[in-house]
Amino acid sequence: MSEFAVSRKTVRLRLIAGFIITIILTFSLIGRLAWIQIARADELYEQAWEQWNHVAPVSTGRGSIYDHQGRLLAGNKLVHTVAAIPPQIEDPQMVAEALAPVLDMDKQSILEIITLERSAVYIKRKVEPEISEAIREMNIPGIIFFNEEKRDYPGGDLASQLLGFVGMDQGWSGIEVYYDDYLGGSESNLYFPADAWGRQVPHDFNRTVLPEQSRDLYLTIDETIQHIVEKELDQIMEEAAPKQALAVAVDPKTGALLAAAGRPSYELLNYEDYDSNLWDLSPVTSSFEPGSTFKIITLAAVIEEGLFNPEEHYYCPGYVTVNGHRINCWTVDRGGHGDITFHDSVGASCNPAFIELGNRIGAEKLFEYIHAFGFGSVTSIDYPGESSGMVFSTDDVGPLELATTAFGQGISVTPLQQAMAITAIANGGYLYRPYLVDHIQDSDGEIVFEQEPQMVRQVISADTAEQVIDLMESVILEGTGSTAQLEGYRAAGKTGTAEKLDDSGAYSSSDFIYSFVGFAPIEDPRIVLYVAVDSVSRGPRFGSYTSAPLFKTIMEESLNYLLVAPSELSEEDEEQQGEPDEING
Amino acid sequence: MQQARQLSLSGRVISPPSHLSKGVAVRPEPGRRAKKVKLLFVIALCFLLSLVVVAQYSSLVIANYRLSSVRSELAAIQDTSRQLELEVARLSSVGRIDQIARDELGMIDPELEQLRIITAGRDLDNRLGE
Repeated sequence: MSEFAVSRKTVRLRLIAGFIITIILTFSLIGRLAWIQIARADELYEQAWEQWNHVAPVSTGRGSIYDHQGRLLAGNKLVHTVAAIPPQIEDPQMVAEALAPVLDMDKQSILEIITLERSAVYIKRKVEPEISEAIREMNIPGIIFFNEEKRDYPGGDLASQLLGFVGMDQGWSGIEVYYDDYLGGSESNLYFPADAWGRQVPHDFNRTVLPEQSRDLYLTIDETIQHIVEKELDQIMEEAAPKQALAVAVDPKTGALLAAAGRPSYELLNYEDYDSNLWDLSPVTSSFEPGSTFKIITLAAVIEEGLFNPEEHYYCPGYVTVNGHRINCWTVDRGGHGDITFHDSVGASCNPAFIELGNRIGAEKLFEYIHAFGFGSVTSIDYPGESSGMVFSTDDVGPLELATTAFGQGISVTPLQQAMAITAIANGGYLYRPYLVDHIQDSDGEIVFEQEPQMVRQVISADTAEQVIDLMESVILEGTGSTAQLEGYRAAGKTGTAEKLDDSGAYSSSDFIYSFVGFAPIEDPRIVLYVAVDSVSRGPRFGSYTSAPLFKTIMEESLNYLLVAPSELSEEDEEQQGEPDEING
Repeated sequence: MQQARQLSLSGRVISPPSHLSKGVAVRPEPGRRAKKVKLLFVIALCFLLSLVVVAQYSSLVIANYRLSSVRSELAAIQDTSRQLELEVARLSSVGRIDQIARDELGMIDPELEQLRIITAGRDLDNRLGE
């Protein structure tokens, strides 16, 4: 037997030891794997993901805006964003030189962008497809493209002040900014794997983390009525060359706006070329002295309080003196209206008669009604920058303030406030909150928000409203608003001529804002319309030649478009069918 | 080795001398072959099962690629649809139609007498026309 021979027992022990060591090692390895793959899996995966993948932010397309019939007012067109992956760009100088003329950018600024120590950078966002195609053909390594969307307006600049414009990703004015949270959605990210040097791994392995979807707005605005309003405003701007003109149309049954516009306006896609004052919707954001259209408020108040007798006579000498201040009637040059009934004083728009009515009701009551009709506070319409106008505080109202307020001087109101106040008369006494968005839908067509008409309060009784409507009809039939008489429809309305302040702060004798507010048809009011023309500089300078015909044209075209049966036709039908309750006219 | 073992009468196990074990053909035990076959069968089964698992993963990856491709296609179709919607809206915008009607076709607004509004269905929002 050799001296190196080992006993069988030793061999067995060695084998057992080896086996145990192998087992321990194997289990250690399995344990370690389990620790890595299971216990620390999430943490390590996250670290690995950050190492492998590079991120580039991509914004989503904005939600669209439709009119109340689902006609597109603001949509999106496909554009491209040109980006760079700096580590992949071999010769930045040459790339900057090649891209500068195509992207209409400075070569140096491109060079600075593409040499940044980042995994991916934007060079220029939202360029037209022709530009991106031209760059694509250059086949430059490290230059990549993302699809994005950019606002586009199929109706051109229709409702530009109402819709507002969009910057690179956010709404900046109008509805676009008010509903930005709904329209904007959220930003998404494009992830792509890259190697240790930051180079994009080949193959189409990109993925985009889907962002929160944007929502579509459905407005209360009717594209056709909006077009009619804007077309007529353009016409008056051309004919009378005023400083500005505006109009707002409201559904008297709900408070929903049907159209609103101001002139001059701006181009949505070139907004930066225009004065920022033109970006706002003037019927909502501007306020001025209402003039005689405000007499309707005084009239409603005195009727509601039982202080108005239409047959009562009043003598208008052409002026009244209040606290030593002489206040003229517009008929002062011809000695005033003379003997006139209060009924006729409405159609004749007699200032002294309304000062008398203001005195009868008193400051406290009159201002109660003024506030109840919504003046002096915002209407809370869903549009940014609404003006509240300005009315006297009751404590500050003396005889002079009461006298001027009674016929619409010395206070400031917005066109929208006036339209809403007349809405409260047209619908039988109920003041509604005006609104522009009817409902909001998500990308699956589910309605995520729906605006119900909101009645704010009842201001006057139905009987009072009816009496006021009769008197407003007389304004059109036999008063100052005769040029607003509609062909075929019974309408109610009131003219207004507001004096503007000149540079010295005194009332100008030549600069006026002509306005008209009314509704039609009287039997079943469908539209309340307020129009105003500021500082006419061409042609006749009377409201009867400017604002009243503007009201007439817009109202007639809109009622025809809505296929509202003419009032006369309704009466004929009434006779023929003998079913008066079914005739809505 | 075990085959070479012999049992003594006393029951103790003794190993045969080394010269006797050399070159002796020992017939394998019948149960041992069966065990080997079983082992091979188990290994083959494991292999096949692992193939099935790999195939499943592979088909999952292929399905994912297909899904991704279909998603891209859907996104492209949706993009096209949106562009077409925009184009339809542009072509049917009231302003454009009004301009063509007046400027190109010489059309004018109808007079009230030229309108005939049917009373039936007025309760449907007064929107029914000729």
